[in-house]
Amino acid sequence: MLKCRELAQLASEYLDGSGPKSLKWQIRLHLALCHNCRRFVRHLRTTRELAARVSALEPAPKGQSAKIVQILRSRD
Amino acid sequence: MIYCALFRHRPPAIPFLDTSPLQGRNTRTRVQPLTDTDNTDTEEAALIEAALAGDDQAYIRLIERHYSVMLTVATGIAGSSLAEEVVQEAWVSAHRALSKFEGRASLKTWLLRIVSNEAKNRAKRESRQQSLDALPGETDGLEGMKFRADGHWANAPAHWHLDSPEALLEQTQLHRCINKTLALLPPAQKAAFVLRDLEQRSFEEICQLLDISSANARVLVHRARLSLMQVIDRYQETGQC
Repeated sequence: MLKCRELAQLASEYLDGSGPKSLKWQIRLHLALCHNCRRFVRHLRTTRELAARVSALEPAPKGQSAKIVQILRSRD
Repeated sequence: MIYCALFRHRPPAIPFLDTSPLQGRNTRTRVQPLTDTDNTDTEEAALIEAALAGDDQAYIRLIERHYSVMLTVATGIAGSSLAEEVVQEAWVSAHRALSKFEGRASLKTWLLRIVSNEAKNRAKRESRQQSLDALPGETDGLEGMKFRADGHWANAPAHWHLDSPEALLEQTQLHRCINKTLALLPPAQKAAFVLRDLEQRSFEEICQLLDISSANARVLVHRARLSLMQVIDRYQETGQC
């Protein structure tokens, strides 16, 4: 039987649907029995979904794209 | 370590001419489609055409669309001090081949391959190792969580009074906290996370782009998610970052 710590290490792999089938069953069995790990996996799933929706990378510094275009045109 | 076997057998591609579709692309539903939509493709095709015809503003818009993710990948591979130059050189390579771009892969996929190759070559030329955080290391990212010696929880994961993405979406302060943390993630961790969770790339593609093993890519993504989860934990408890 997996330990909670092991499950916490494997949780992303489980959410991503990767890893061997036997491991998925071990994780499912553990989750069926462990309220804390169910909560952990739920929080991790929520984190993944929220981050995908609100994360924004910093835009290019002002003038950077124009500078690159200038370089490209100078090499034409 | 199992490196990306799928890609190891491919001939060394001339990056800017390699537009073949990638295998094993992730097919799960996107939370927020960021790339590859029909509209984006049509708009980009128009921007490419205008850029090639000499329209600098169209070129600027094209670069602005992809600059941030290209910089993230370049930083993850070659480090922050070289990343801006790497992106510039990637655009120079892309510019030379843009007229031959056939759109078999999306423009972003094509650009990511170019910037990845530029960054790898540059890191090699500068004898620079990839960011050390690309290596698995000895920690498992669970340092903030308490486990007993027998491996079970010592302290249960905190209860979240807001625990649906919809409820959390309304917390604009939390969005700022998430973005602040994202900006501070170690470069390779950030690159792996951005490619996986924002760009919805497959792990095969991620390990090829970042030149790391599949196991490392998964560890990096997991650690990034755990860091962000701890931000939400703190926010739930204190209302602050």
